[in-house]
This record gives sequence, structure tokens and C-alpha cells, in this order.
Amino acid sequence: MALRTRPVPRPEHSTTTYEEYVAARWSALYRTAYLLTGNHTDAEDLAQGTLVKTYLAWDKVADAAAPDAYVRRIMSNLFISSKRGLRVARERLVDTTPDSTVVTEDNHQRLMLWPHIAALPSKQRAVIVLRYYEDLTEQQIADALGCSPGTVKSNASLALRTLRTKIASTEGVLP
Amino acid sequence: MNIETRLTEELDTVARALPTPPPPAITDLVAQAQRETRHTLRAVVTISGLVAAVLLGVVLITQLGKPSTAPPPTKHPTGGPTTLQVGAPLRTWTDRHSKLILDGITQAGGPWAGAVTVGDLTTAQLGPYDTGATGVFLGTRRVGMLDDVLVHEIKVSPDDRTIAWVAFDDPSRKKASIAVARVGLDGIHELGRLHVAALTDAADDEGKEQLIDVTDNGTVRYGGVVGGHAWKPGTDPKPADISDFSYRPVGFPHTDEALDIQINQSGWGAWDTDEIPGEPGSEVTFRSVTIQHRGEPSTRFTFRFGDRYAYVEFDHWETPTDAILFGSTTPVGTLGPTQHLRCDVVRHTCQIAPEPKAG
Repeated sequence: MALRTRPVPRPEHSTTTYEEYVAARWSALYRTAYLLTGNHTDAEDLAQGTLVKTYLAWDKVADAAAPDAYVRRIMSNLFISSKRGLRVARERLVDTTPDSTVVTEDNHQRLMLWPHIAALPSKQRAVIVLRYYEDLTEQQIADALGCSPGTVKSNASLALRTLRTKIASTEGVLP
Repeated sequence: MNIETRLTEELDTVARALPTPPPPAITDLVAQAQRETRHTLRAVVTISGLVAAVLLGVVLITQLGKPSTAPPPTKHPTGGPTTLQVGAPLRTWTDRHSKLILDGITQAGGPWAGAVTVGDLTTAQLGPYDTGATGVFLGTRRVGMLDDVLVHEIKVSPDDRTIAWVAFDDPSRKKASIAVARVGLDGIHELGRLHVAALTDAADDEGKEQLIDVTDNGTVRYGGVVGGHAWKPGTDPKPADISDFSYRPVGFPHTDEALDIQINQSGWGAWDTDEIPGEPGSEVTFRSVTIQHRGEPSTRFTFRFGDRYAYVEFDHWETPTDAILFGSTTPVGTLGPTQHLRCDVVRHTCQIAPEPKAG
């Protein structure tokens, strides 16, 4: 809350500024946000909200041994806990609508699990995205979600069971 | 191919196919950060219980009996205080290290966020912020913790001793209840809970409802676009009129600028005015803040600061008659010096309210 008068912090031992971090990590953050939320609008809000909170915690992020892990935790918490999102400032109207291109039809036909991932409860979905897209270990996911590895394991198990059940009728049972 | 391999492939396919939008402007992110931190701190009413009621009565009677005591809105249409004195620090503050400072006292624990003071009752989220943990303070003393807050907006009654909140019923947060409690120095005493299915995100349509307010006796109003309800612990819910919540508040102007009127429990409302022209898609900023007592246009007054600030916004009510404004010397999204201003809505005076330092 006292941040508004300070410049973007540049810790002595950190070589990355906030601006540089945003430029370097935006695409990756956006992709993860899309996998979590399933649509462009929410993905952009989530990625942007994550960067806002990252700014507010930049001292800690820059000091962290693994800044990406810190930011991932921010995003995960934001996704799970705050679907209502931040209070949005009033914006002036624009004449054009943002691009809403999603996955192509061709891709969609090959995506059997993706539609069902979107229907998972938020924590299960976060576990799936962090495990199978971000390729994190159970401990890393637990750190990102602020829970125990056991909770990660049980959420992953529930999610996989749900996904197996959902696709069993369309393509037979996957192992 | 097993399901795990397939998951990896599909998620990768989706991610690679994504058209990534350009990154947001740093100035926009900074502006949002400024707004987020600012809007987590809102305060209303300083005097509790009967004293507050008596004060409210006195204020109303005084103004009704002597309408001329409040300058008409045209009396000071331009200009305003250009030399501001430095007053007392802000009563409620969360600093950059997430330390919570209440009336100058740094609270134990943390990280804290979203501190809101109503009268002498403060609620603040305790991090990590998805746990639902919320501290409840009376004055500078922590009297208890809530551990199941789903919506981080605790409703506080006019006597600032009854609270109501939306609580999650299960860890998945798919079920929620309205919980009501009285708060005293001896702790938080729950009065009752009402399960309301339409409170959760699962009801994300026109059927969704939200908690609106709570009275001193624990009666809550809740509802949405399809209607309102009232419920008092120990009774059954009843239909209730929530039109004042659903539509524009009664007793205030209906203009395009007065869309977001922040009304405190003594009936004073404040809203941003004098919009600064800007580019399409940019954030709307304002040069002044207008205040008015409900139903009394003669009390309307606009706080203007000339060229002192690039933009000014209402921030929160600190007391029944003290509005805290936020002024920035540089445009929104930039990192120039900023100040909080404490403006007396009766005397039409302002002073600088410094940010308190953690002890």
C-alpha cells in the first residue's frame, strides 16, 4: 500500500528489473494463465493480475532464489482464490474488440482431454497444469499452491480419475 | 499412449497454438497496483454504538434545521486548498512489507492485506490470502480470527459490533453460507449461519446472489438481480427490498460521473468528478471529488486542488465526516509523488494525512 511513491525496486544483487521481467515472462505467464482459465479474457486478467501482485511483491520476487516459482505461486493463488478478480478501474471504451482466436478447429479435433480439463475444479486444474504443462514436481506444486504434497497427490488423483471417466465413453479407457 | 502423456501433449498443443497478446504497459500494471493497494483500505465511521447514532442524529438535525450551515455547491466551484497542512497519520495502513498499522500500533503477525476499518472495528486478511484467514480487531487489539472467509468483504453493522461474511462450507468452496457474529473485546460470538447456494461462483449467472449489509441486530440482506432477501439468525429468510443496492442509491445525483458513490454509514457519499480527457482504452481519471449528504443537495461540495495534483480520487471514509482522498502529482501509472488527503466534509477543509511507519 505504500508502494505508490517508490520507483520500481532494483535490489543490488538482482540483475533483472521489473520491466525486464514482464517483457521476458509475459508470454509464458499468459500461456499458463490460459491453460488455467480456458479463455483469453480471463487469461489476460489472470496474467495481468499476477504481474500487478508481482510488482507489489517485487522486493521478495527479485530476492527469491527462483523468481518464477514465486510468481507461479502468486498466479496459482490468484486463480484459485479470486475468480472475482481485482476491482477493475473504469476504462474508456474502445472501438475495436480484442482478438478472440482460440485453438483452431483442426487442433480441437485432436484435443480429447482439453475440454474436460476446463471443467475440473480450480485446484485440480491448477495441479494438472503445473504438473503436465509446467512439468513441476509434487513438492514444487505444493509450494506453488501453498498446500502439502499429499494434497497435490490427492487432487491429481481425483483429476485424473475424472478425466479418465469423461473420455472413457468416447475413446475407450486410457491406462 | 497413457493419459499422462496425452495430457502433456494436449496442454502443450493448446499453449503453442495460442496467439499471445502484447504485454501490458508497465504504467498500466503500476496503476493497477496503486489502485489495488488503495482500494483495500476503506474506513467508515469512528465512533461506535450509541455515540455514533447520537452523532448521526445531531448531524442530521443540525443540517435539516440549518441548511445554510452547509455551503452551496457553487460557493467554491473552482480552486481549493493549494497550501495544505500536514495532519495526523492515516488510522489504518498496510505498509509495503504487509505490516498492519492501526492507530499507530503495528500489529503482530502478517502478512496482512485488505485492511478495512469501520468505526473501531478492523478486518484484515492474513496471508497466504487464499486460506480465508481474516483477523478481527477492535481498536488496536486483535480479538479473534475468522478462518472461512470466501468473499473478502466483511459487512459491518452501523454500531460496528455485528459482522457478517460469506463463509465457505467445504474446502472446495463450492458451497457457501452467510455467517453472522457479534464482536466484543472477549472475542467473536457467532449468532448463526444460513446456507445460500447462490452465493458461490457455481451460480455464475443472473441467479447469483451476494451479501449486501447487516444491521446491529444481525439481520442481513442478500440477493441479486432476481430479488432480495433478509435473514436474521434464528428465523427463516424473507423477501426484502434491495432496490437501493440493485440500482442507483437514493438521495444522490444520477449523473454519468456519479456512478460509483461511496456512501458511509452516516449518509455521506463521495464520488470522483471532473473527468480528465484521455485516449480510448485508457484509465479514466478525475481532478476532483464531490461529496454530499444523502437527500441533501445543498450539502454537495467539490474538493478541487487546482494544479497541485495530476489526478485525485476518493479513497475511503476515515470517520463519519472525514473523507480520505488520494492525489498524485503525476499521471496515472507513473511513479511520481503521491499523497493522501483528509478532507472534512462539513468544514470543507483538507490536510495531508501521512502514511504511518511500522514500529
